[in-house]
Amino acid sequence: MHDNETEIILRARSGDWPALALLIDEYSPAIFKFARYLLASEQDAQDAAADIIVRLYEKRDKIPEQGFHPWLMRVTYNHCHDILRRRQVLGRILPRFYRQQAACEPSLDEALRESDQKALVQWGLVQLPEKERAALVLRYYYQMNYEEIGSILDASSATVGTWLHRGKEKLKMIIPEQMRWKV
Amino acid sequence: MICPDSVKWNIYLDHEIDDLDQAQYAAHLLECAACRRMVSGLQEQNELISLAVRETHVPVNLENMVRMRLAGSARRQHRTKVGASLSFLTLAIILGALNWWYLLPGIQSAINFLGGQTLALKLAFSLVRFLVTVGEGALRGSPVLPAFTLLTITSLWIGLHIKKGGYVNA
Repeated sequence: MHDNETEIILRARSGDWPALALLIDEYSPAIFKFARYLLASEQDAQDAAADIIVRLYEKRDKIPEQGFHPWLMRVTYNHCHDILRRRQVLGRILPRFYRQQAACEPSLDEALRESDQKALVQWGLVQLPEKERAALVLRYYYQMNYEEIGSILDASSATVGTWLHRGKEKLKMIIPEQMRWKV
Repeated sequence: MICPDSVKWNIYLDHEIDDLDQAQYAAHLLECAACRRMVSGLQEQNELISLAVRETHVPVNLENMVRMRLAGSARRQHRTKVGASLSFLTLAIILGALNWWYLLPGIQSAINFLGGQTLALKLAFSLVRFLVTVGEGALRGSPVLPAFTLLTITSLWIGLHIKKGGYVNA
């Protein structure tokens, strides 16, 4: 982000459109990527990113001056968590529709066809439990520390450490052996 | 130092242990080849996760979609403001038509009595602020313009009525 992030945020809070546009351009991909791994769907992640930005615009007076990035990731997590909860309910009420939706996701075959470790890790990440994949993305992509991740996922630093370790172990197990890194 | 397990090495790599332990772990790494191999593998895994997320495909139309959705939201907010302004004006016209304006001094006295002059002043300022907001909206060119026009006509109409002594005789 820019050096004068606080100034941009202050301007955005007061409804300054260019400042808001700067924030949007800067953070839309970050929101999308986090949502993409939480929701395991590109289309849903795109909708979620747009919804979150709209909410950000409508409630711009609530944008914090400090710690904007962790706050935004928390908003994204909460929004995606709500979507996942709705999906669970939908899965119970309309199982056929839900299966249809789930079938749209990239399969392991597609990931293997890419014969690329990155594609497999991308596939593997969405197979993990919600908290573990969220912790992994926040730690290794957004470079957040355990405390920041804990504040986003409502957990202690120790729990975050456990999620990260478990997530990595599971990732190792679900990725086919020939494509696995050596630990 | 006994060889730490992968949980501890993960925490070490994430810089989540204190400086003293960090130094001990680093010293252990220098003398233990097995731990060096494990740490190197863990590092590779961390880098791969980071790279995989970084290279996640972002749709090219994402920003356009967001901007379109934002424009829709801005229009909705604007319509709400216009709706509120029009409702207020309609109420003002109805009050005017019913010749209830003579109640205004009474309302002012009641506010003065119950809330004091400060509250009466605050309300007056709120009204002025509201008029300024409507005016600004009209200057930007938008559906607020009809609302502003309606307000002007209403004010003129009421002014004319008062001049004619309409409300004095009511």
